[in-house]
Amino acid sequence: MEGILFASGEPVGIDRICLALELDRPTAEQLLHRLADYYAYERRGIRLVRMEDSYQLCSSPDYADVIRKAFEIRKSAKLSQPALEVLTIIAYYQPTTRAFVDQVRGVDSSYTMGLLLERKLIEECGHLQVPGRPRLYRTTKEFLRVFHIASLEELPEMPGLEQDGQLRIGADGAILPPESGEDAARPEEEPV
Amino acid sequence: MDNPIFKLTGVVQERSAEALQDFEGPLDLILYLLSKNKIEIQNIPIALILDQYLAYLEQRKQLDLEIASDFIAMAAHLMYIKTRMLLSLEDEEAQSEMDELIRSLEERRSKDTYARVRTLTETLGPMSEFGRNTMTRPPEPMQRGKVYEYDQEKGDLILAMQAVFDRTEKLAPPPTAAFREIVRREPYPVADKAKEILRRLKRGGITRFLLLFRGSRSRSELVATFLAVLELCRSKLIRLAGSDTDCTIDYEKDAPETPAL
Repeated sequence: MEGILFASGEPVGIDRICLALELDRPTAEQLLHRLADYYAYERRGIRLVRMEDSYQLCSSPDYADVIRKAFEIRKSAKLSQPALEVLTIIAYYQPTTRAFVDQVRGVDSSYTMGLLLERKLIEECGHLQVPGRPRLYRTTKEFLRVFHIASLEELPEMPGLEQDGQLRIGADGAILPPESGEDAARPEEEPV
Repeated sequence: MDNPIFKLTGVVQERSAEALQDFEGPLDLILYLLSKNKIEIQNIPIALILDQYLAYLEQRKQLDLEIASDFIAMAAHLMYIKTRMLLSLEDEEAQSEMDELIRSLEERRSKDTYARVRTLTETLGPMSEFGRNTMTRPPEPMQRGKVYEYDQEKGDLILAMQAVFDRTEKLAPPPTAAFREIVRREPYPVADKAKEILRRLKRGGITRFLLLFRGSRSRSELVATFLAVLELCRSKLIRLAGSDTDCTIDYEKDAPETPAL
């Protein structure tokens, strides 16, 4: 498995591994999980990451500085606030259109979306069947790896998305904590 | 509109705590009702929403809680829209008010969503550190082997061909033998006939169309004559005039002397 993943470089679907090694899926998953744990536990220089049904080897974040030093490269730029906002909207509302992103943010997001497309964090995935047939976008596997999650289910919960949560917004647009009086009446509400 | 709450006791009594819920503004209340009823903003049913809206206000009143004035104003506004729509579904005034309401609701919801998104980015931001600190390799170009290593039966080719045909639902193109009866080599060339027609016209002047066919010895000659006439017409070397029963052909006056056919 290690060999296959190394030779590939890019993520390998688990089905391919099962085919090559003649394993059933649960066994393969178990072995891969064990391999991933082994790398982490032994503080190896490589790590095994899972992105839904695919697996990939990558360098360990523990040695990032050393690795960068070896090649005299700089740390890649942090995602800008606009980029992060656009990415978040797409991540939670995918598949979605650029128009929706613009509407939520209240500004034109085409430049930012272009950047995210370039960095392969989002991709096109069809059209919405309404007049104009606008393009739909979703996040990529790369997105999962960069944010260190194995699937979209692992995204943090959106605050106040359930019916029993009412978000309060102050004059400057910041989220206000719920008044303590209200909380007593709604014990099930999650803290914001 | 007296005591609408009785109609909705089932819905409203779900949790008495609901009435204690403080909404920032009337739009938030409406958005809450829409999401509770699982209705899209675009399809807002004014009567239903108005009923539930008033029910909420009534509950708050009964619990002795304050109701802000903009909530009352919105109630009046909804009632206005509803009554106009009752009078006439196509009422323009009501429609435009509805559109305005829908627009405001969408704007409010976008603001709400945006606020949530901004909170989330604070959590997601640090998560992207992993991506900044890990590196992956691009795939190695791999040479596919030149030798075909699989084992195949002869019959597989036929099966594959059959599958292709099944997919396209078309028959194989018919063999050329099938056309032999229909298409034969032209025994009487059209070009010759065309030249002959032109010679005739030059010598004899205007002539009748049908006369051209006199003296043809075979069917293919007749066909050749007809085609020649069409070709000469197309090349603007002759002119057809008259009716379908009495057609004449004449040499075009300003045609080139030795026409190339």
